[in-house]
Amino acid sequence: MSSIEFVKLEKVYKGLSDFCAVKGVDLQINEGEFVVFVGPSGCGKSTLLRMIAGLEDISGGELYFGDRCVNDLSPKERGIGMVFQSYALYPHMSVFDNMAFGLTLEKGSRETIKEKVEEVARILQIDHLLDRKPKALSGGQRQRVAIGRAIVRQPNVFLFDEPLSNLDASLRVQMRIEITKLHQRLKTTSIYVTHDQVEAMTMADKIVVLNQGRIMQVGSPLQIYNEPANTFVAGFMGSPTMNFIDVEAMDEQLSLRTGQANRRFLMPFRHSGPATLGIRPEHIELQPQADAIPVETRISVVEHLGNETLLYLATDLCEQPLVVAVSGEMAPEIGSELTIYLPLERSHLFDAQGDAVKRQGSASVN
Amino acid sequence: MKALKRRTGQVLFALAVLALLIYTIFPFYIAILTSLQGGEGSFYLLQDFDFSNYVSVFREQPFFLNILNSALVSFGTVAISLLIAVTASYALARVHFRGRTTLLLTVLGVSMFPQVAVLSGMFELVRLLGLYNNLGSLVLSYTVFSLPFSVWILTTFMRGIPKDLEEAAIVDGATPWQIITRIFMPVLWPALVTTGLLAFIGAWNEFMFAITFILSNEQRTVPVAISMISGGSQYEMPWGPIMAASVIVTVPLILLVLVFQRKIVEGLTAGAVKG
Ligand SMILES: Nc1ncnc2c1ncn2[C@@H]1O[C@H](COP(=O)(O)OP(=O)(O)OP(=O)(O)O)[C@@H](O)[C@H]1O
Ligand SMILES: [Mg+2]
Repeated sequence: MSSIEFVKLEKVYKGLSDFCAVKGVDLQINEGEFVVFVGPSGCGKSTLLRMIAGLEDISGGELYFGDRCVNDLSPKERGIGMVFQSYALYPHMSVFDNMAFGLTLEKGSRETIKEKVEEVARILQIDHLLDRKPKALSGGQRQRVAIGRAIVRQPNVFLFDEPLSNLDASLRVQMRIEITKLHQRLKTTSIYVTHDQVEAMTMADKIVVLNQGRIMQVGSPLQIYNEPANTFVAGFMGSPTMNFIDVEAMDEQLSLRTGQANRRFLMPFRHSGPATLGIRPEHIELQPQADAIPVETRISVVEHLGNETLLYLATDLCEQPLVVAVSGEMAPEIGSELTIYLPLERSHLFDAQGDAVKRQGSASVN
Repeated sequence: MKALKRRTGQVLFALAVLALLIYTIFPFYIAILTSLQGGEGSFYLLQDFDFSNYVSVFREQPFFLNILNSALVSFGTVAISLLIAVTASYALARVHFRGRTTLLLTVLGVSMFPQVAVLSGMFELVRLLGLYNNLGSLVLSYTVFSLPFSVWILTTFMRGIPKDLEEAAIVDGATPWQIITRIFMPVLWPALVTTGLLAFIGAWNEFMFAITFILSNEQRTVPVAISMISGGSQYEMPWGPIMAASVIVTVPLILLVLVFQRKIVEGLTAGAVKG
């Protein structure tokens, strides 16, 4: 087990035109932590993970495992175990041989290898499959074997690159819980790449949100949800995504750009100039509230999800429709008028650069 | 009506198959027939089993030695060209370096040359290496000719192996050599059998280099030895013994193909290997 530290880590892909996939990433990962990298496709999650694994050269900066700089060490010397998205099981070997491969290369004795593999197989409940070839396994079973192969060598760090993305929804939930349990049991430092926010929120001790090769925010799942550091994180995490409304801020007051431009609202932020107000669909109210901005809207689309219903509301506040999540029992009519209330207490304010403005005190409608 | 139509279709199909069979098998039938007939007989029907031709093949010349030479040369060619082809195609498929595509195209280009074009150059090379009248000269020249094809085929197959598989092995601590031998070769087994067998057949049947580089009877390979079988007089073609010899040397090939049949089909059809 070991802690990991990134110091100004960079990755440049050389080619006809150089492409910088990871740009000066600083990060501290504590021993035993379960860290999840999330971000949109192409943001450099896999690249970063492969740099930690030692499968990709580090173009700049340093990578430390504990206090050892591992920049020039091979994956084996770093002591990592990795689970690939495609499982990457050796097709010609039995499950047992797949899991034992790394140990045989280390020239361990036959009995200890057998013992270790069988123990891990028991933990992962694949001990009855040891003689089978990978092609005779289901997706979930293959994934277990891939995980087993990674943990059987007792690595310092586990790396997962979207390991569940090939599984169907219910199996994904099940495996997610099992990986979490496994981590609680082994307490090995783990880094998990995904673009599924539910996985990120449920599994992580610490979420790292990446965009275009840069870290956007690092924090616990609730921190990321409750205090997004910028519009990118606010918009990326949470489903359906946060509503953004352009506003004008004057010290502690806020005015809408259109419609009720003359009305001022007292807000729990101190900021002046153009800004963006962010509010999550699940926080918008249909009943009059103190400290809330009333907005006249018209229902344009209704999505029934069963447990809740999403309303897409046309307003003159912004181009995009505002999204509101209401209880599943509600049966609103398309085209009908609806007044909604945006509680300022639960909203977020971002400055012109998109960075969050720190919240203070409480607010009241003027 | 419908049944009749189907019947006619079946009959036509059967006829087509029959024609194809006759067309492909007839030469072999004649060869076997001729080899089993001492002296004169009907040309199309087997009248008696006469093994005198087979006996004479071994009596008149060191034919057993010739077979041994051919086997030695063929297996040597297969072993060396597979070893080089596997390692080369690993580099061509997996290691990034400048001029990789150019190199691959050059390899293919080389295989376009007709044998005659390189004969004199090869002869110089053989003399330089002191391999004249030595089986080594044949292994050398056959390897040169089988390599481009093997490299090309294996590179294609190796590209089909998912990169994750290799990286999983790297994470498991395997060296490049261990990756090749423990992961790639078993996965590529059908392709290896196919290319190996083609190299074997090429070497086993080759004539021009064999007659140019080898002088003595004891060093000759089978195709040359067969061509040297002579009859009672200058004007008589000893078909019996020639056909007997041909049948003898074709049997190992047929056996090899039958043994590896399944693998060859896999090798020729399965382009990529699923992870
Ligand atoms: N070998 C390469 N050469 C050049 N550019 C590359 C190479 N590999 C990746 N990239 C680029 O680096 C960026 C980051 O890629 P990466 O695979 O890390 O994305 P990702 O965050 O894992 O995305 P996804 O969620 O789709 O897997 C991408 O823009 C990609 O085009
Ligand atoms: Mg990726």
